[in-house]
Amino acid sequence: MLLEAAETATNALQGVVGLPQESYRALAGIIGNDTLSYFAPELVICVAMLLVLLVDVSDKLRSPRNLMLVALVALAAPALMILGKWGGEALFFYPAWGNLAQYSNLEGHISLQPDSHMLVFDGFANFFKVFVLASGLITLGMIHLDKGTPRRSLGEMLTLLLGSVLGMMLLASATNLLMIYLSIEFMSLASFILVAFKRRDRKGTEGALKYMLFGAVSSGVMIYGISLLYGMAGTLDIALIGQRLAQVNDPLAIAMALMMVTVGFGYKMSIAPMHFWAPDAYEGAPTPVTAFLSVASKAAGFAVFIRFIDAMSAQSTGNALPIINWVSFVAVIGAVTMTVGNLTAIWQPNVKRMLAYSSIAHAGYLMIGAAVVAAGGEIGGEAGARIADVGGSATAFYLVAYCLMNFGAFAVVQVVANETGRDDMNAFDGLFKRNPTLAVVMAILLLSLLGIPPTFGFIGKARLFMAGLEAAQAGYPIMTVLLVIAAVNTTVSCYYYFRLIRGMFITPGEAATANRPLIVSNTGWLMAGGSAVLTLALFVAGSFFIGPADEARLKRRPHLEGAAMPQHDQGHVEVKRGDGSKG
Amino acid sequence: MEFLSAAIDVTNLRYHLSVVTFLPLVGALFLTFIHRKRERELKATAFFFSLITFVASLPILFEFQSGGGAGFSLVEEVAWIPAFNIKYIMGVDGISVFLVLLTTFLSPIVMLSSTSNVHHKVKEYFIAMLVLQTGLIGSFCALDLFLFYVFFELMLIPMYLLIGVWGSDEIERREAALKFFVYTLVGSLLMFLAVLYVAHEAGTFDIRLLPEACRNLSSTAQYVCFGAFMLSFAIKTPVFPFHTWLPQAHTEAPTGGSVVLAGVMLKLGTYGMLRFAIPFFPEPAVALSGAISVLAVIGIIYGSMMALAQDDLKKMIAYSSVAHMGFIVLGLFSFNLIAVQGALLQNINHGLSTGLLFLLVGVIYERRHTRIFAEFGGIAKVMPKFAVLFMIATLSSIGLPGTNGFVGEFLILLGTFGGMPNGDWTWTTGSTLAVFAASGVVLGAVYMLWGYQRVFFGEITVKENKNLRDVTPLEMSFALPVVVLIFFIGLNPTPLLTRTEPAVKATIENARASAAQRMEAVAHK
Repeated sequence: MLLEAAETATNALQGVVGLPQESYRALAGIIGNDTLSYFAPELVICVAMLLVLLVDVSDKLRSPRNLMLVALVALAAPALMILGKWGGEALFFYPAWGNLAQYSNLEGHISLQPDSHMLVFDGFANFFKVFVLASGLITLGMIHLDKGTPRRSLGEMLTLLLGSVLGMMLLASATNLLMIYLSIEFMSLASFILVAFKRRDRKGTEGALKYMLFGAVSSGVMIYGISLLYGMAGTLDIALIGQRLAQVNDPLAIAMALMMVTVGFGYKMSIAPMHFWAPDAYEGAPTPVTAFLSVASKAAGFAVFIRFIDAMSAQSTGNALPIINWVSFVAVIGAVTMTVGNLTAIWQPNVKRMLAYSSIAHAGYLMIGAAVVAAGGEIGGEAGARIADVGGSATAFYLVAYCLMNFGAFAVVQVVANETGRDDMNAFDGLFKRNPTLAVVMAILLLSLLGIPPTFGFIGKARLFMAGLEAAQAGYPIMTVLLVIAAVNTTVSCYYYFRLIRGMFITPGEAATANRPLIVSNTGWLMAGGSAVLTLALFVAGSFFIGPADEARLKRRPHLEGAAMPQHDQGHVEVKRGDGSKG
Repeated sequence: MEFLSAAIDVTNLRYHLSVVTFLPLVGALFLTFIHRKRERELKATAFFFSLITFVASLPILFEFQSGGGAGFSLVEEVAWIPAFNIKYIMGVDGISVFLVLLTTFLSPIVMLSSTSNVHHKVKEYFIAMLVLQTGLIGSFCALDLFLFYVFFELMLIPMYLLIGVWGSDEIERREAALKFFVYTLVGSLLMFLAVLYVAHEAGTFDIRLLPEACRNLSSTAQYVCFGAFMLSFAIKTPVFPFHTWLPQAHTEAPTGGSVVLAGVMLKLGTYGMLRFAIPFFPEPAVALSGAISVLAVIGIIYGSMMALAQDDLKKMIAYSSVAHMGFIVLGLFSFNLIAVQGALLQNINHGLSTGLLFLLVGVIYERRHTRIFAEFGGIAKVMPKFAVLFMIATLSSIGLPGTNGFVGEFLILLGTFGGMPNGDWTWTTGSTLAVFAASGVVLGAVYMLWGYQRVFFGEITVKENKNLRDVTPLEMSFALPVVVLIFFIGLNPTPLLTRTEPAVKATIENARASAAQRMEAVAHK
């Protein structure tokens, strides 16, 4: 029902933005590859970026309202297109990705060489694309909420935001190291400028500079790793690399190369020890940008990282990678990341910095899911594919919860900053007296970040823990250790979340403002209150979706049930959506 | 009245326990719509909701089947997260039924007492109280481990706020609140991991099936999970040496918070031991029972000694809780039907007697704003009725024959002294522990009576005490029901004991049998 509506809307929207189905096919005919239609959502964003710039230079059209409207359509339309075209494939929480080893048979891809693919369009990619687009939409709301951003440069900000979103969408699809590298650079360059958006703000400039230097170094290291992999495997396609590395008998070189590439991803996910840029960049950037980076950028990093480890560990059942045991490697960096994030967050006097470190800690929790994927890949076979699936969907599920609660928390920070002009911890003192509802909203979001019932964050964490136990059962005792560390870390994190809660509810505010009510705009309520309500509602209702959707996912994975893939006939596109079934 | 009877009608339907559990939450929602300035209405609504919850919970006692069956009654079962086989299951048996009733019984009393001693943020106070009540009732009724955990954690936040916002000392209360929260969370998160592990192994979260399903766990897994469960419950109970959060939390909490904390929340620890830790992991439970009993006895003596050394009336009662909860743990881990029955009864008794003590301390604190012994003396002359009430609570806490405390402590000591009939636990160990524990009874009499003496007897030395008002009718109205129950259970405990017996017997015997079986299997290898 909803999906049909989405499809109708998509078709309508495609008409609006001037790309009807016929023109796809015409365009595709010209290029000689009708798989281009898969790329339509990205093309919409490309066009919209130009459109925003054009609107921004036109005296007649130029107004914050128009700019926002174009950006809104530019983000909503691709999301609806993906949902409409792939429907259930892009269902929230339940990404399905085919076994990467089978990608060579895919038809839903764009490739330059017959056996190597640039982009794939599977459920996994679609999930993350919709996720990134939704984050972009929420960021638009945050920008609307932000009184600090100069309205005059709104057009530039939106262009850069769209550019960053485009990079992330490409990253979610990329299966070729060159494409991965380019996507990361694409989204990073846009992000650097976004962080430094308040030009005269010293903190912003400092944060952006650190961000850029870290980005430059880590992408340098990454491309070195890529070149090593290319040298050994003779291809840039990650699925093929995974296969061919099995025949390379040089474990040290393989381990070095894989670690170097991981550095590049780790920087995007803000994994320790590549996290040093995050607090400064998060503190200096305008709050909407901070929220966007902490959610979307991290999610894109996890998307590509999970794809990468799935491909790389898929072939390591034998003696291929004796030095680098992915599961232990991922588990150890996960444990280090969450511990560093939580222990450092305790000392932060600034809420944005505190949330930055908390987001590092969450990256650590998410690594549990990544480690499960790695374990699944190492086990191999059907059992392994199932475990990898569990890990991947737990990660995606947690990201949805994290998106809700983190954006909500940043929205509250924004609302308070609008009123007080400050974002340190003391600005929240006595908030309960000034606006009880807002304080309760923030408390719910913080409890969700902490991961205790009755919040969505709790269900998310429970799913991650369950996935971790699954891997532990399958013969990875290190996962048990990781889970215990995660549990202890959660307790540590309670200290700093509760410092804020204590400030809001118990500490009396500053005498001058203590009794003045804090006014929240409608957008503020929509952003902050909406996420809090969803956090509570999804605690009860979100769980209902897990069952049926998991079944649906299993049905979509033919090698699990032995049934043939039902072929998607979209009517207007000749190409079958590839899932490795035809081979 | 029509509404009440309608409410009772509803509760006769399938979802009786859910109604009882969530009525307070509905009340909390109601309160959010009342303006914060209308304190009278706020208080009345909160009291009303806790009262109808109590009324609605009474039929549980009659519907609850006591005849022979050790199973659960009033069971509700709805799928919640089908993918992980997580269900919403509620039900009561002999182990939980009186704890549910204790909770619903104490709640209106707490609300009544709070009407006179909460003066700021009234609205939020009662909302927190009602949410807390839902969490407590839910924890006792939940028959799904995941659901239990949800309710178990749900209580933390309102309790944190009760201590932190309405606590007595400006600085101390924040520390006390955080300490309470962190301590409890450390334990419960490790337990959560164990819960997930156990459920993953067993393929179900259903508490009714888990004792059987847990038989397949390896010994190591049993020991590790038992450790995780016990850590959480030992912190909650609290068992020495995990008790350090308790005195501070009790001292700082407002009267209502202390009553709920001591009266009901601590019982979750001992309830959890009997409901989860012992039946799920009988082998480690039996093997480690000696060590745990020793800790319990240390707790009894140490708590009593600490109580003796306090100069603050409320702190003294807080430490007496450590001692009394030690008795309960000792009874549970004796694996003796009499002692476990006594422990279960003592759960209720301690809730009543310590609850009453905290209520009465609240009464005097409200008049004098101090709880230091040196500030009192000779109070009996100006507040005779209050002195009588306090004496009853004191005697019940000491365990004087005729009061409820006697029955519980006597059964525990009797059972422990006898040891286990099949010789798993030699007669000497049991009797030695019982002797040491009995010394705790004597110490209890010493500190309670000495404390009583310092407050009530002698000459009035502080002039503010000369004009103290005696117990008001309102205060009488919330103290009297507890007094009645104290004597009722003290003189006629049989109705309670017969109702708890089948469930306790089944739990203990199953645990003992399966532990023996496992140990034998190990010995054969």
